[in-house]
Amino acid sequence: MDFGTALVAIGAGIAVGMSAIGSGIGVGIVGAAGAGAISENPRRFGTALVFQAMPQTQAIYGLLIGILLLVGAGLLGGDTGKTISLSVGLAALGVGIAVGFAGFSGIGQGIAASAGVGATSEKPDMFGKGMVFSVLPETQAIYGLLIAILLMVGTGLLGGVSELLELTAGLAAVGAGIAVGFAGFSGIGQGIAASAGVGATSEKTDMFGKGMVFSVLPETQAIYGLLIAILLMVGTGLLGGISKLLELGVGVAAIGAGIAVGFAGFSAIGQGITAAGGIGAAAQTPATFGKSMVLSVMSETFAIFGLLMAILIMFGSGLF
Amino acid sequence: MKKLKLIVLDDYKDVLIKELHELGIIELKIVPTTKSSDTTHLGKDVVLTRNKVDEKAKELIALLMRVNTVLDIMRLSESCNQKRFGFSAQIEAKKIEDMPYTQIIKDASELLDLTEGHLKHVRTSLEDLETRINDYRSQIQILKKLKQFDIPLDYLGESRHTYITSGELPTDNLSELTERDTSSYILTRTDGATATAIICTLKENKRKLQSTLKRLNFQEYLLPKVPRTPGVLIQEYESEIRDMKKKKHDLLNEITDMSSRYKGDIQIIKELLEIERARSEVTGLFGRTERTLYIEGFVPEKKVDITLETLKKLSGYSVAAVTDPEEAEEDIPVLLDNPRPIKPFEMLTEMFATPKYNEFDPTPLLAPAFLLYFGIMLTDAVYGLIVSILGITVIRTLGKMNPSARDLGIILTLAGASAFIWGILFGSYLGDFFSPKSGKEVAIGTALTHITIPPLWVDPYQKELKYNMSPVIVILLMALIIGLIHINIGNLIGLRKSLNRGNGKEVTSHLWLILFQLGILPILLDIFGVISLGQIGTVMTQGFIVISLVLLIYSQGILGFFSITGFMGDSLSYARLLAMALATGGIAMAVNILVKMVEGISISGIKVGILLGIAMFLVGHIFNIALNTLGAFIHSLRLHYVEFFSKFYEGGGEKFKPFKVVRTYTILKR
Repeated sequence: MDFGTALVAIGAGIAVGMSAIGSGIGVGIVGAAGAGAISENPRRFGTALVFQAMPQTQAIYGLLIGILLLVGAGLLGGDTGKTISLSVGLAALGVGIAVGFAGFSGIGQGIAASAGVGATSEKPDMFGKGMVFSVLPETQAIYGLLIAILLMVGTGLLGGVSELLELTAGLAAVGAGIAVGFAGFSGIGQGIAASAGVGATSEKTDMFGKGMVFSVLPETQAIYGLLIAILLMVGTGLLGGISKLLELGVGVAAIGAGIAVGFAGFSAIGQGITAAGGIGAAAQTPATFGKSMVLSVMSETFAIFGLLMAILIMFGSGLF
Repeated sequence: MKKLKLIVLDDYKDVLIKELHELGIIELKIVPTTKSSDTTHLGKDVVLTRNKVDEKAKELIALLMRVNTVLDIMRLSESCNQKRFGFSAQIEAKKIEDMPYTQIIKDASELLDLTEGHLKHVRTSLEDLETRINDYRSQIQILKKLKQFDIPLDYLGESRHTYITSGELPTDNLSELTERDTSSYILTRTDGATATAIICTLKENKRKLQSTLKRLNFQEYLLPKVPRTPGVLIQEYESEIRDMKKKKHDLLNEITDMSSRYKGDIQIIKELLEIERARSEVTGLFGRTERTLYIEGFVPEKKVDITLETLKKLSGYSVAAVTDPEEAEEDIPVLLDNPRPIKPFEMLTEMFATPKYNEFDPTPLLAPAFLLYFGIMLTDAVYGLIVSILGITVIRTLGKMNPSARDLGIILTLAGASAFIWGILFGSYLGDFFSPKSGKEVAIGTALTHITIPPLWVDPYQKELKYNMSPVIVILLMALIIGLIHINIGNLIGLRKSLNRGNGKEVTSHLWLILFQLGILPILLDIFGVISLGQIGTVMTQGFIVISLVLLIYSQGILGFFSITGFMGDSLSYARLLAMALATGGIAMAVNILVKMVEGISISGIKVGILLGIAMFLVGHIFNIALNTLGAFIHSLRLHYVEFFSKFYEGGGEKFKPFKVVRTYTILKR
């Protein structure tokens, strides 16, 4: 087994292992709320189960990618005896990081879904709206999944033929994974805001729209991560089929870009907390809607710094 | 929406209210009276006062309370054999004649006489039994702790020379007890943090013992003084409990019996009482003069003719006038008026917010876009078919009783059809079931049926380039272009709205986006090598960007910066169309791979693998359908609520709620 294949195995491990944390904790939070709901009204069991299923998706995405990685590298069925170059192996690490760490959004989904369980057990017609709010933090996981799949397609791990990949591209793939994976933590912020949205909407039905708007604010960080990941992939030719010839240093710099925007994604947790407060304020005094939005958007500034830095790194190192 | 004004002679008010209630297309509003009192002077000594709700309402409310109590008791026996998830059996409505008020009251009283007394009695007995069972249970708990000491309970308490007490205290205090009190005989049993103890001492020491015990947090057991040991008593109590449970069961059977005989009639009478109450209470909205009542309400324009037709029956005793509404826009109720194919989607718009009166109704735009997004995100022909079938099933079952369920069913059916079409375009039939992915592997479906179905347009997972690009990029570009179109449509609607209002700043806050795009998009295309901007092009685009930024700062100040990032975020958000499509296809692929792997397993010669494979296939794909249908539905909604509506939609209108009779158990013979 060559080193590249071994790296793919590590990537698969990261994919499943990390996403399990997010899903596990998230599902646990909902389960606790569900137990509480059932003790009030035993008929709520079905509802509790449905809400509890929501944070599970992150782990499923992780498992999916893990299996696809193993199959693609010939470790599980598929085409055994393939040679995986070091750069493709590195890209596999990026794949695992992308979907694995984005799985932490499951914690956010758990927070939102547990509010959904509570609201639905009080008012059964909150079910639909509760589900809508609970699905919001899933976006981060989907972005992680998307980048993971794109990387696999671009490196040939998915599709059968292992492309000859420059080492730079492999390193850039790690950067892309970090960018979208760690930005996935913004799902926690979204979950906090969404749970406040559920609460406000169950009291006042017309808070639904405003609650949604606030809850979506922390998603921006994930979008920045997605953007940088895509740019890294396009710049190194991982997306588009043609491997560009670039210095090794550019690939290493790409990891820096990924760290800049990825970790800046944690600022969404702060944004989520403010947004949650904003929802409460707007529910009480509708006139505060605009100003609360302004307050909520402040935390985003730091994410923008991260985004800016990532872009500067990419341009400065000669990726574009 | 038109305003309806009615005057009716008070003798005919009941007839009029009944007609309006059955017609059910008018929303009645409270009659405006002056603020300081409930009267208005209409000139020529005509005085309008607020009508007082008549005494009928009190009588009806009292009867309804009793009827509801009876129904509650009947429900006690139902909780055992209950319907799952609230799908009650189809209710067969009964045809009845129009009954006068007095008849309804008489029937209600009669039914209550037959049922109320008896059922209340049964309920009290049940509660009684329940309390006694609980008492016995708690006694049994205590007795279990004393069981091992095997001391007859009549030993406890004061006797001629001794005082014996039993109870429990924290285990930590046990040693202190034995130290301090050397004159007593103590039997103990420790059970974790608490210890049970029986303490026997001379009668003289009773006071001293009691004060020691009090300090040590001793809790005395209250037990009956009977000459039986705990073990025997436990058995006695348990047999008592069994008897009582049997009695409970018998009582519940009595309720079930009464329920089967009378419940139907009670539900009908309840509905009739509710209808009478609604009719009685609505009179509180009216104004009254000496001999007439004055009524105001809103009626949809299209229904004006039928309303006036119906009111002809009362000509001679009433007068009606239809005018344009005079109130401020906030107070006019809103009834959306979309053609039949679009109507089911109104529930999606209203879930966000009901439009204001005279605001642009986004539903006709939402309907096709929603279906498009759903289709792209679910992207599987077979899944789409299943979703459509599910939708049709919902229409046929739940939809018969519940109009919103019916709407949902229609939406699902159409959405499934959209997914079917996109599945064909992307060549996804249960994922890669019929199309091999990696060069050498044969897809399961192909192996079974020798059919390979290529995509009609492009498969995101295929290797071959399309339009000289990776197929994933093709779909990504499509998603982003769709997104840009959608955002711009929203922006243009917002622009038109602000032009109508004549609000300069608002207009600029929409204009900047248009100019910004005219500048930045060509630059991006240049960077990616799709076009090349000459000198003129570069200057023009840069110019556009500068002007747009000026407009932006003018309309929104420094915070306008967040609009730029907002736009970037909004357009990228549509990348989720690609992401979800890949997710559906990817999970389907993974399921198929697992099925293939498992196929070959055989345990001691028996090909278990095939059964396992089939099971995995069904579970995996059903799970995928559920997950991605929900996801596609919600994300399609979210793209509208957040990225689209935020450009122009305000909402905040009040939904039209007509004064309409509610009949589930009855049908009126006319």
